[in-house]
Amino acid sequence: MEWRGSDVARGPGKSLGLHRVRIVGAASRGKGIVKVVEADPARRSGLLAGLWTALRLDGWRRVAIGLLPLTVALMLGVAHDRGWTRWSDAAAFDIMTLDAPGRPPAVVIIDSDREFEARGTGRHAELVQAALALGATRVAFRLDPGLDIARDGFASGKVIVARPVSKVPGKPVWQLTKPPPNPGITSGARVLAAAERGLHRAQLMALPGSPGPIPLFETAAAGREPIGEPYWLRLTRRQNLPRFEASQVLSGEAIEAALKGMVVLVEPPQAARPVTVASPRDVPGSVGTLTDYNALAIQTLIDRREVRSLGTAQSALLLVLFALVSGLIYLRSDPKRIMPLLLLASLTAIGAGTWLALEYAGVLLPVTALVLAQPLAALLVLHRAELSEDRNLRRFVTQTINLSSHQVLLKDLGRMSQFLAESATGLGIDQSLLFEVRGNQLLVLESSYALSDEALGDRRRLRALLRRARRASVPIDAAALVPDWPGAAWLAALGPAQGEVYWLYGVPEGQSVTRALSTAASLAADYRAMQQLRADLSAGADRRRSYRPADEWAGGAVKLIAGHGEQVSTGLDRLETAVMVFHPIGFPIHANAAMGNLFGQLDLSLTETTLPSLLKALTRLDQARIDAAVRDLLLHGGEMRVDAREIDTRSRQLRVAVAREAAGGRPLALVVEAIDVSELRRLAQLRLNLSGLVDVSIRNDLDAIGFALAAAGSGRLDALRIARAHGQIGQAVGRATERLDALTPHLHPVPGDARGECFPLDAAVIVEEACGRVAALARELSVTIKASRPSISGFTIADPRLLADMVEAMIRIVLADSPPGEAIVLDVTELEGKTRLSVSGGVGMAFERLYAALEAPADKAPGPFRAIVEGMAAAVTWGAVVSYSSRVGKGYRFTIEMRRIG
Amino acid sequence: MNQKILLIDDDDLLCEVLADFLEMSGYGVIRAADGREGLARLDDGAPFDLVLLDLLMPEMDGLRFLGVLSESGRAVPPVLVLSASATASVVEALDFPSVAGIVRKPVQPAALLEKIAALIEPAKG
Repeated sequence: MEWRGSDVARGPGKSLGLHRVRIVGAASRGKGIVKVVEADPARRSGLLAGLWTALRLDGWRRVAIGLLPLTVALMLGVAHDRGWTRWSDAAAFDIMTLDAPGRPPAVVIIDSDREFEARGTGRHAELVQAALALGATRVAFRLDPGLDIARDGFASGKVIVARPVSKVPGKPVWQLTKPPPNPGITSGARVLAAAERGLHRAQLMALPGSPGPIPLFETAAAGREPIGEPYWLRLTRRQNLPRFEASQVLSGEAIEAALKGMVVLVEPPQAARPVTVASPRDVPGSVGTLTDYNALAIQTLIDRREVRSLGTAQSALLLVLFALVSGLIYLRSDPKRIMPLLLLASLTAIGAGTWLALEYAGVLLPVTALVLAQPLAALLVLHRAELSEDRNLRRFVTQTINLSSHQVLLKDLGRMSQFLAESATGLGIDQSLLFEVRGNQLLVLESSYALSDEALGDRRRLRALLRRARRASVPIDAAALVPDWPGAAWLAALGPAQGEVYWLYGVPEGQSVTRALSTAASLAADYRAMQQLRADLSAGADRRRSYRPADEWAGGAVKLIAGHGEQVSTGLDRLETAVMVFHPIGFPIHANAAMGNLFGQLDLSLTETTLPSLLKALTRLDQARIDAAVRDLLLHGGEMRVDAREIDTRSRQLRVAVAREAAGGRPLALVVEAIDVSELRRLAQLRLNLSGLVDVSIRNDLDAIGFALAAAGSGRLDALRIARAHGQIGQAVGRATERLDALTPHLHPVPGDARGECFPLDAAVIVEEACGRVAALARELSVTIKASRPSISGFTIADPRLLADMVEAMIRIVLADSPPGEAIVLDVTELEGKTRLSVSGGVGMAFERLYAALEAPADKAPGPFRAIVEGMAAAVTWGAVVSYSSRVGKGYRFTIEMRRIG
Repeated sequence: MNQKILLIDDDDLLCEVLADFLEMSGYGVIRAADGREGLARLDDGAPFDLVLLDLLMPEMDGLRFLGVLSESGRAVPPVLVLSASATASVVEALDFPSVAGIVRKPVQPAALLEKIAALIEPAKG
């Protein structure tokens, strides 16, 4: 009975599938010997603990990447265990062994030639005796010569005969089919090597028998103990195997040296040699004799060069170690960059490791699993990285979209409805019903018209109209749905929400009905696009939509937003003026940083403010005028300018304009620009101051001249006084000229942004401005500012900006050092030729500290002290003097004395 | 006996011209350079029949002078305000009982005398 090969079957299946049953041989189909191999869980848990510690450092995202090679290793371990990689493992084995150098022959094949066969009975015994006499260590018969050697007693173990085996009924053991003819003859089981990759190269050392194991023929012939795992033969082409004919041995032609120390394998006569086996040693497609195979097997066993597959547990362990190393490398590097290098290094290491294991340990590693592990792990890591990048792209695009529209309402259907309803009102659409259909339910979202479900007519007609509206790209006529509405009624499908959203609206007959209807249609189209975008953004949670690539929907979203906000893409944020863009539907699309600051001061929400509410917050217009203005803008375009309320002591003018696709086209956006005109007004004020100064400075002189002339001509003055009047006129003219000369420096250059330029100004106004800046801080600290100023001011010479900054800094210092409930004093006094401005109060600090802070270089002065240091340096150029004092418990006193004219 | 006028103005030259003219017109004139000095003259005890008051002055301007005067509760002669900037807000701020009129600059001698005469009679001769 021949062995048919090996097979692998699933075992009892305990933990992790590492317990397995492997059928390593069978006397007949369906019967076999099982061997259980179990991994050592303790060793693995220790390694996993180490890996876990290493992976935890990198967080869950990297842990996932690190675990992928481990997963691959486990999968390949199972594949290897199930025998799915035998073919390629055998190929690798052949590549490494087929052309390896041969060993000195240890086996001699003796052919049973015709002359030998003709010698008759007892020839085999003679052959044995002759061979042993010539120094052969053992004589092995691949076919049993039977009684021809039975009569001779040979030393035990010197003659080996291959015999068939059969299974002992009812027991998992085997027995020789016939007992040996005499005790000196050793029997070896005749078993065909199992095929690996179609080639017979996997052989057993022994079969289980009773009372002990039955050695295989090759094992016995090689004189090896019948123990050990199945082994693979090195079927190298370069192995010499000497051949003689039996008659040569008997005739003494064979020299003694040829057989000395050799194992003699006696080949059966030609007629009894039908068995051939496929071998990699031969030309592809040809076969070798079984005797050659036996000889090679015996030679291999004698040389102790048999090769064993790495055990299941060891294979699993090796794969896991390999995975751990790969995982750690991936963890500590960029997988995409390290992947090619790692693949190359892995293949090299696997090749070298396999060769070394084969050559020096006689072990065949799980080559296929090892070679596949790295590319598969790389593929999975790459795939995971791509998925991660895709998720990141989706998140990034979503954040970008949300940021560009300030998270307006892409996810908030309720808010969108409000905006649309508000816009509809702005357009003069007085009948508007926004509803959502969920299954058989109709949910009214916004309604300017008291309508019930029943009022929309019978369900069949409603469904038909809704279906038509969904298919149509423009609103459809829906007058039949609401016959009691005056004028025309239209129905537009606005896209998917939880259900489908629809807008039923009507416009009364009037002058602007056509434009209002077209604008409403474009609003509906925009709303539908918005809804689609919103649905796309939530596609991650919706498997029905998840097939849509991120770049596609992101592209759609960007196109939508870019298409409706050219101003957004042209760098609104770079503008210094505060700009906000509203969608024609009414919701805010974008607000630049300056507008964001303005909203912060007004305590308004960037995401919830509509254009009308913004206009109401920023201007003094009433609601009716705002509605009319917005309606006019939407319908007729153009722009609107209106003064804004003063916010944070700044004067602004609002400009609201409609951006259209083209002249007369549909509105794309409403742009609100808050232009800060404070600077213009400040410059105008400075010019006014200058002209006022000129006026005041010489008016008295001109008055004196005029009065003196009039008095002289009135006849009321005597000659002496007339002469005095003439003198006074001369003085007045001279003084006026001097004053004009004195004014010249203040007339040039024209007031501008340059700091350090001084102008005639009202110091009290500057003080008020500074107080305005710190008012919030004073409220927060519960400190009162008591200010006193002249009722009518003259002109003080100073740089208005530096002065305001300096006064603000002084107030801030004193405020910050004042207990709650206290007051600080701010006083402006105009004296002859000078204006004195003082700030006092607070707890105070040691003068030395204040001195150190204020006498430091400006760039090293701390916080608000810097503005004072800069102001003190510049004040010299105005002819002003800044002084300060402080004492702990007494408080601070800052004084600025400036020149005063008029 | 001459009617006495307290002339409060920080412009020396204009004060001098005005004082000469008023004195030649039969009024006695006492000058003060600002509101604080004007209050001091009033506190000196010499009775005045009229105060000619400029508004824009250092130390104590005309409005503050009027305020202090009003708060003091003393008997106050009529005040004629001289102002080049008699805007609406200034006129509104001049809502004191003592203010009897406003003379806009530039001052015409005849108009000034007419205003003064409407309030007080000059001494004859």
